[in-house]
Amino acid sequence: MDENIKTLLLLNSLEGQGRKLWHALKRGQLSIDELRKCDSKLFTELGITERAAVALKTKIDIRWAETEFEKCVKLGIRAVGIDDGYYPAKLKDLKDPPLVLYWHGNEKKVPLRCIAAVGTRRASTYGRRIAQRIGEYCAHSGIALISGGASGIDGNAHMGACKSGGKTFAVFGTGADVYFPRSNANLFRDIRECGALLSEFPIGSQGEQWHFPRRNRIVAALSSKLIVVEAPLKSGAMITAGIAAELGREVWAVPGRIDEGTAFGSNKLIFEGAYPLTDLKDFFEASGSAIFSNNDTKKEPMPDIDLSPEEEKILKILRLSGGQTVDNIALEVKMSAADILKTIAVLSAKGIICSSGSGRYSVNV
Amino acid sequence: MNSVSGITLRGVKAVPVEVEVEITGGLFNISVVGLPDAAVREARERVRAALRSVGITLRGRVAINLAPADVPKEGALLDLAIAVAIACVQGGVKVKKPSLFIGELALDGRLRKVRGAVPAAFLAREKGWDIYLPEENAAEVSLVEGVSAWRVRSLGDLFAHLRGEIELPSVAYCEADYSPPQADPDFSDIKGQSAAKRALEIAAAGHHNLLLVGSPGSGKTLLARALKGILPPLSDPELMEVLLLRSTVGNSISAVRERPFRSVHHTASAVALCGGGSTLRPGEISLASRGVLFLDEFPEFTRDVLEALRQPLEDGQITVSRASGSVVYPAKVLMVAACNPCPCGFAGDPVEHCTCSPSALDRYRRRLSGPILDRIDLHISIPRLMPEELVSLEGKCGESSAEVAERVRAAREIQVKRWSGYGIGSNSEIPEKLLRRKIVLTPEVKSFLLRALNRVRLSGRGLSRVLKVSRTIADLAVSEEIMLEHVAEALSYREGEALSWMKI
Repeated sequence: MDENIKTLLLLNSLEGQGRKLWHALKRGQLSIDELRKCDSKLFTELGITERAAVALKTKIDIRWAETEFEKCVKLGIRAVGIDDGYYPAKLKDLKDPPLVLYWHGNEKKVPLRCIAAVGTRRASTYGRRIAQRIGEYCAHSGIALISGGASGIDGNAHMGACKSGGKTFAVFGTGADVYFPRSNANLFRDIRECGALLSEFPIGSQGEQWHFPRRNRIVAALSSKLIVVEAPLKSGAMITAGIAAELGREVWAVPGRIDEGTAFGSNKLIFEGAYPLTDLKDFFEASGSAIFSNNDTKKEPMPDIDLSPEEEKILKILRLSGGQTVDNIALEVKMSAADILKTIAVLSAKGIICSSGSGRYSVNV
Repeated sequence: MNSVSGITLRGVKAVPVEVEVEITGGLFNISVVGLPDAAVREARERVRAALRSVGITLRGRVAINLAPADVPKEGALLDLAIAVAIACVQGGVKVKKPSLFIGELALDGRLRKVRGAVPAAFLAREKGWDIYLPEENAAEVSLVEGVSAWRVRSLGDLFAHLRGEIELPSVAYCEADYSPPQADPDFSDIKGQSAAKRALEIAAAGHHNLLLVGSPGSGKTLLARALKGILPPLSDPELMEVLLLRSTVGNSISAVRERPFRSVHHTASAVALCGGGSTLRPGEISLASRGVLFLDEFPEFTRDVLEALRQPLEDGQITVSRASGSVVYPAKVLMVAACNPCPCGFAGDPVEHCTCSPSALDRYRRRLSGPILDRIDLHISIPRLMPEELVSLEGKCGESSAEVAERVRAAREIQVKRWSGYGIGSNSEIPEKLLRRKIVLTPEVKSFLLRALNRVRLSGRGLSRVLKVSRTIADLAVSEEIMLEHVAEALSYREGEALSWMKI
């Protein structure tokens, strides 16, 4: 078994203190043997706290790293160390990159360029829809989607990407084997198929409150463009946007209604200079050409479809203003409710329109 | 020996109880044997006083035997039979023909209404006996054809009749009215909601269970009530089944072919819903048989109640087993469940904001999901109409229930014709085997469905459900072939669509 990865696992579990020790090892101030002996004098010199030293000693004594590695093997989770070839290079932009990335999924590498979509868990119907569309567009443009695997915006973005056969990576604030929220367990299983679940936290870690801001820095670092879909003023998404801006990533925000608390943060980002995302097609065409200028596999997000006159009529109304009920449409067109419903059903089966809230329909962006 | 019989109820069946009386000398005493319950035992006092009122004073030891001895007897409806049996021994009354006597006695000899008159009438018809019953029960029994029944006002009248002094009025058969009952609420009373009305029409046509999801005040209850008005009137056998159940629990009965509508509160217990209890009563699901069972606030029902509903929904009947034996009640209901989209009720609303925490939403959703949702073919969301939308709909009342009911009737006729050879009555009952064989899709529709399946990931059961609903939609359109538009519409009612915007 690889001694190096075991050391990394061990040091990773000590967070900041572990990173200090890792740098010392790199610089040659400390040898592996000295580390194993937990030389207290040397540790003090390196500025390692008493508590961390004790924790390290205990972990070495109980062969924590070996057990952790076995757990990984058993669960099919790979532990990718910072010096591993598969370790995403972009994470090294961070001043405190994780020493180990636990990696659960079929995709072995995070592409160099990918888009992150983040936002609130209490998303509006609109936010969820846009998030899902971003995921779908990502899939169609062959761009990988990064997000945090939470409910709301994150989950919908992942779902959009997964369902359309794209690549997507979820970064967890829990251990890579702990599915939180539980309601997304099925989604996570799908993500394992078409991407990977990533985490820097040891196997079995529960979602402590301080984990999530840590998780956000990874989401920000992995992305080349970050889209804040919908976020209130105080939220994890705003933290992610801040980190992304610091790291020099492009920050985009989806404009929201100005009377809605859930969009105050994302709107403020636009005010402060983030790019407003006003047209998904344009955004992805621009991103697609900038990112994959010579990519032939790029698919058209919306294939042209022949429409019947009835379908055209209804589409025209919905294009004018979304969120219409069947009754509203019936007032405008001379069709029976049954016929309208049939047409709507066919249109949504073709993916041209979608349900936007209870009993209401809008055109897909 | 006399041929005086009463009845006791086992489920919805009347069991004949032969009443034997022996009077010997000694101190006055009445004893009842044959597993009487408290109400039957107390009959002693009522019978004694009632007999006194017609001039028969009891003396000596009176032994009353209720045969068969091993069947528990319940209820006050044996009063009359006991009184007649005693009068045969002591009062010079003769019962020439085997007859059933049912009725509760008042102390002054009048007869009171009982429950179970219709099952008793069925029994009398089957055995070819006469039946004597209280005046107040005559209305329900008059709906049963071929019974020779006599209406009795008081014990005195009955004895006079049995002695041949007067002739009691008989109960004449009157057929229930076929004219459609006034729909209340009528479809035209409901503003807008055309999508939901369409779903109700499909539900009524193919007997598909229905889930209505909508914000508070969006009109879920109103729509559910309106469903009753578009269902076809009860046929004769159905009417008899409904009569039997209502009579068994003593509910009021009217001579219309209106389908039952039972709205159940979410605090109901599994026994209240499915039937049972120590005396074995039918539950709400049986009382709603052949009609609509409405479960408002669906997720608030306790888990075991919802689980208990699964089997009867599948089988159309429910077997209640108790230590004293098991009975089968019919449970062929059209279930309409209603719920809010989230605990606060405003998820997905264009104006109001949902204030539920993600974990509360998650819990709510988990209660909604599960095998019971699998039994519901149509899921629809009901938009809460904005005031301006309501105003713009003013004066546009849409179709009346009668018009919709006509289409439903036609669609049902097609189904009955198609499936009668297979022993099923509606599209919702098509068994899996038949579904694959009898529902054939054109290649174009098949490829459309396959594409949709990839997109929405339907389970096997979900697919069958979509096919069954497609069949109903095609029947409503009087089309033998299932077209693409039918499948597309059926897909839009699939599970989760109504809740899709609150997923993840």
